[in-house]
Amino acid sequence: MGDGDTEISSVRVVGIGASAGGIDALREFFEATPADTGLAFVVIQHLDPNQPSHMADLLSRYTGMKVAAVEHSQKVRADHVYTIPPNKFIFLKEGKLHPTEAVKRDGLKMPIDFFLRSLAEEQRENAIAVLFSGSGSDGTLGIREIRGLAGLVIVQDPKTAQFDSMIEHALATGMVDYALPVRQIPGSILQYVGQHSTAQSSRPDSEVTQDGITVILDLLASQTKSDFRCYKPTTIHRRIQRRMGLNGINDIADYYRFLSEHPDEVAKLSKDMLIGVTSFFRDPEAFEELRDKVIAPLVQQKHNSDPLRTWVAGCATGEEAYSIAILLREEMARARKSFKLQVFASDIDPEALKGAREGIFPESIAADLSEERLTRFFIRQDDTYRVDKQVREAITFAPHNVLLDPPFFNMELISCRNLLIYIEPEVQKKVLDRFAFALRPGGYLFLGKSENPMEQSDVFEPIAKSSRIFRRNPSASVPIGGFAPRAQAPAVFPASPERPRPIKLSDLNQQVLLKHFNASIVLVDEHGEIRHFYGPTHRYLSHSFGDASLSLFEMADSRHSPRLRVALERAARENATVRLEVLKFSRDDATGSVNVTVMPIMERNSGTRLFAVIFEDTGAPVRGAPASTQETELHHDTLVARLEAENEALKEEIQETIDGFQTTHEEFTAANEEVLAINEELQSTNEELVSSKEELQSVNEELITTNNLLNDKIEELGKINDDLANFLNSSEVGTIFLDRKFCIRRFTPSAAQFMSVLSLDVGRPVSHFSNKFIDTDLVAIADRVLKTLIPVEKEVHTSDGLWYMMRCLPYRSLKDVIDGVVFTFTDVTRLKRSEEAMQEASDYAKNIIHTTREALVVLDPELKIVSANRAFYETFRVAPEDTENRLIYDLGNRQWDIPELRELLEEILPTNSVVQDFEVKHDFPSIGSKVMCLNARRVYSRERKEIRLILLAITDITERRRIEQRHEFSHELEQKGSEGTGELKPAQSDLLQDVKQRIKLEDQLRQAQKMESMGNLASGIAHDLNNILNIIQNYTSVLEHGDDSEQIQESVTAITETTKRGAALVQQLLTLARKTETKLESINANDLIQELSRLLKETFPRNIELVLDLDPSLPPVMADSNQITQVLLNLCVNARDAMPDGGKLTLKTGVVAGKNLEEYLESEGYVSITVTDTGLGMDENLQSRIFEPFFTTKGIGQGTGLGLAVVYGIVRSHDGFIHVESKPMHGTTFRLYFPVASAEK
Amino acid sequence: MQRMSERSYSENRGQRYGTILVVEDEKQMLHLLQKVLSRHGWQVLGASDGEQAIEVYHNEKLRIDVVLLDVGLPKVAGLQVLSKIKAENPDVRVVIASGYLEPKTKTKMLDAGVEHFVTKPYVLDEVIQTIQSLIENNRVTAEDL
Repeated sequence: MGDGDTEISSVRVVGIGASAGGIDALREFFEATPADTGLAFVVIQHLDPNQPSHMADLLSRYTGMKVAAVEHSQKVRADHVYTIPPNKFIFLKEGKLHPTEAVKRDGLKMPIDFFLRSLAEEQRENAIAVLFSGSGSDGTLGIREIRGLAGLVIVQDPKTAQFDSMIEHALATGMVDYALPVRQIPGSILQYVGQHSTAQSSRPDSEVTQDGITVILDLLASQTKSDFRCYKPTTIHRRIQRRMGLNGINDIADYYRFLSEHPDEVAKLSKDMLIGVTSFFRDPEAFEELRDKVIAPLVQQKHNSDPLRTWVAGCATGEEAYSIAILLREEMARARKSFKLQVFASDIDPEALKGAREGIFPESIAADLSEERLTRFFIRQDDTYRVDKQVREAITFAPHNVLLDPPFFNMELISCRNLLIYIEPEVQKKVLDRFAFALRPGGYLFLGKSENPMEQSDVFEPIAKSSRIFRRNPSASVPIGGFAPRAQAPAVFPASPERPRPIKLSDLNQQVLLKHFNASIVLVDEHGEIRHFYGPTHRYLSHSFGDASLSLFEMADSRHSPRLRVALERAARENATVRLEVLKFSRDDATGSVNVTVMPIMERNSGTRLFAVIFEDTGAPVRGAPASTQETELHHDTLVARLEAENEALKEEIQETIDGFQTTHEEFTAANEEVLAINEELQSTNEELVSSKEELQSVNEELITTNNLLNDKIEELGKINDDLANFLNSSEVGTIFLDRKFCIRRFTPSAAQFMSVLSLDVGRPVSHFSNKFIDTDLVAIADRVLKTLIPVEKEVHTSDGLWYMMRCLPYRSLKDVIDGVVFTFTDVTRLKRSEEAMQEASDYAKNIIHTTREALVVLDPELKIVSANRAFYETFRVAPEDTENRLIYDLGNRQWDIPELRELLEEILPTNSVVQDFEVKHDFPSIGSKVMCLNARRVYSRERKEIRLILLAITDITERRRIEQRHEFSHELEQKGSEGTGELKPAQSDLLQDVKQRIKLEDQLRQAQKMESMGNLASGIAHDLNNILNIIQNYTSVLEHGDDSEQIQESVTAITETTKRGAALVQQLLTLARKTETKLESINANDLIQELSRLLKETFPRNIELVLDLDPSLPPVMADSNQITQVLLNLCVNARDAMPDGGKLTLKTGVVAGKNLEEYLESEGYVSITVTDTGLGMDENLQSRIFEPFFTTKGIGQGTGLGLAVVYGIVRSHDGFIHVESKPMHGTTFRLYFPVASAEK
Repeated sequence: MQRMSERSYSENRGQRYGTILVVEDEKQMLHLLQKVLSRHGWQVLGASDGEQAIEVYHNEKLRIDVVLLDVGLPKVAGLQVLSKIKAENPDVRVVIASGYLEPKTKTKMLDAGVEHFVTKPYVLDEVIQTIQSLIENNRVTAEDL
């Protein structure tokens, strides 16, 4: 596109504002827009902030261009459409679109204004704005900025819009270039862009352009009141180009013609020229500074009687003037002052002033004003704001041209913003001079952002350079005046270069001679210095007194010198021949009139300019004859005429002087302008740099802050992470975190106990790892938890026997999103083991309780029954449901409400923790009279603080007592019988007989069994006896045949010993077999065993080794020695039979404490006798039956099966116990326990 | 009976061939047997319990011709000793001497191939004759072959 213009190289952006009803317009617009325009389109809409926008989707249906919402900063590309995201504003900066937070003012959002302003600033005259259907006034301020910077503004034809208020507001500003039906808009944009770029390609400094601009400005000056000739050519050129673009004209000459034919275009151009960018509090920082540094002090110093005078030059539509007036009013209110405010607001555009006077602005100004100012200084009228009357009245709006009209004076503040930038530097200086004049000493000047009174730095000293506030130096002198009269507007003269060159004078003369002969001619330079005389010049020129001079003006008649000077200068200026007619000369007495022609001699080689001054005598005046006659006739008239002529000449001379002065001035100012321009550029660059630097600094600070914050956060996170890791590790709870795909996210070291994971396995699927859990599918569990979100809890065990409480929970992230699962495994092996142990112990205890034949009852401290065993229920014929949880006394119709029991439970037991063998006799209605032996014990809690339970064991000893009584009874009877039975009644005798019979039977049974045991010894006895006999017999035969005394002696000895051995054996058998009376006496078990062992040694097979391990300090027991021997014999015979292939039979004695046998046997000692064999042993089934009568493992005829039943009966009748322990193929041990005989007994 | 023994003492005096293992737990009886049998001309080895008997037989089985075995023995019973030495040499010649044999035990011994029993109290000549016949039988058998 453009050649060398950097602004054009970026993509041109079309900003499109649309609101209500804009969708149709947008559709039409994009359907009519080709996809390859090279333009970028930004669509700004009023969107619902809470709904996602589908605009991008929608638009992409209508256009081939790419459509994107500006969610983030992005570079603008050609042939793209950008849309605004909801609840955001977007702006353009440095070729990029940026989203930003929406700004709300007075409840309104102005996204279109916001964007268009950025567009104007970024692309200036290249900016294009389009407004479509919509309500409200958004966009109005935006298009003003666009137009202010010479951009293009097009609106939809309001007649075709669904909602036209947005468009009408725009039109009301007068800033709209086109109002067109939507379909035509793309075409006109493209045409404009095409023309515009061609027009721009023409160089503003080309001569053609320059000439064109000059004539156009002349035309403007002549047809309107506006004279723009002092404006900067670039500014003017840009504006003219714009109009050309809009009118489709390429050539500036064509445009000139167009202008001449279309007076309305002249007005439009003129208006374009006047458009400035303005808004309320433009550059708010500058206004703040103005308030702080100028207005506030001014207001402070002011006396109420003095008015405060302010001049706002170039006020345009009045925003600036109102802004300053508002500031003044605010400060006055703050300082509680009430002086008069005089604000003069001037502009050259009367139309703009009219609007300004009204003080009505679109509602979109809310974006520029604080709520407070809006409510305080504006009145809402429909969808506009009107400036408060008080403020309006403080301002006088007046048409005024700062360049031409005399300035106001005695001002305390002049604000002239963004005017100077448009005008040429030398005019700027002039304007500043006027401002200096208008300001009171010490008054302030408030300029635009890029304006600077450089040259007047002695007059204006900056007080706030950044905002361009200056103070008039009171001591500096101020040039007064310098105002050109309105008609004499300074013209622009291009400075022509001049270089002295050698001239061939003779050649020049020849030229002159060709035209004029017989003439007096002098050649002079432009200053009137005579270079060459030709002809009789003495008639007109003479030497004057004084220093020699060749000046034409000095040598000529002094009356004519001014005219000659003017003529020469005009000739020089206009490069044309100037003719002065009928000049009267008087030389000596002769007078004559002469015509003088000043002819510039155009040098061919652009050499020094010379002028030929030709004097022509007029013998008879050709045209001025009447004058000459008058002169001679009327001296007075002549004098007047001469004076007039002189005056005229003087005037001309003054004018020429002024012109010359101005020409020089132009040259200087041109140079100055360049310097200023450069300076301006440098300054703006500098400012940009400063602001960039500030921005960078603030960004940097923000970054540092953010960085610090982040660092803090990271540190915090690190700590939290450490805490978490330490917590997880210390908890020794195996924990595995899985993500949604069941890959390991994290685990604790404890997890390695059951799963072979390493830290580098993080991220791998958990299914890849083997674990030790039996029948546990982690993935299935995780899957279920993830699907149902219900945590799973389960006890699992590992192959190495450990138990874990497994929990699986969904992993919830901070945002309550399920992001996987967490497994925890708590080692509960010990718990599990103790649980099992407890269960076992409990089962064990329960089994014992239920197996034991004694009735057992467990009571709570209130004597309610907690539980009872089977024996209890059977013995006392009660049902569990009638028993549990009831008072023991209440059982079975209060049959247990026994005074002795009460005594036991309520009096004896509370003072003794254990009560033993408490006998109670009671008649039970259900089961009859019973004698019970009660054993009770209190069970304490672990700390022994309170009674938890009472155990009560009830033994039915009714039978035992009965037998004992019978014994006593029969004994008595026998005694009584021996004394004589005569007194006994026959019935008693029968009973006695019966009892005697039974006791006898029992004894006989025992005796019979003893015989059976001895019978078991028979083969042993036989073997032994035969051996004895064998020895005796054979030694006897030695004696018979013996011949040597030694042999005889030996044989006799052998026979004697062996005989004794036989006799002893017989004696032992007899002892054993003897039926003796039952007799309890204190006996030593060791003695019985030793005696028995002698018999056993003889009679047991030789391959059975008999071992005795007797405790020498064994206490005595109260027992029937005959019965105890029978017990031992039975057990030994059984042991022998269990060892058919020989083995070891051990008999052992010792003492044990009662509590080692049964818990309730607390204090008593017991004698233990152990019979151990190394024989076949028994399995458990056998063990449980051995004490049953008639149970035998031996063949028929080999035993009665009564042996062990008798053993059991004897032991129990001695208050002893018998325990058996056996293991198949290892042997059997019987342990017998008899109570130690107490000393008293 | 007395005559026989007298004769045997006179006739059998002198050197004979053969080795006898006597197993007897009654010390006095073992002493008497060793004395009488060696005087009869045999080599006599003695053992007073089952264990010793097995060991001696194992060491000397090549020269032992006859075993005189008591049944009621300490440590290892006679029946077991019998089966052990039978295992060492199935053709061993055994004479069982016992004060009382339970029928069951006797059956087992017969099953094991024992043919010669002497019952306590026995006469020494009876024992000697039994041993003598066993040794001679053995020899005849050898010659027949």
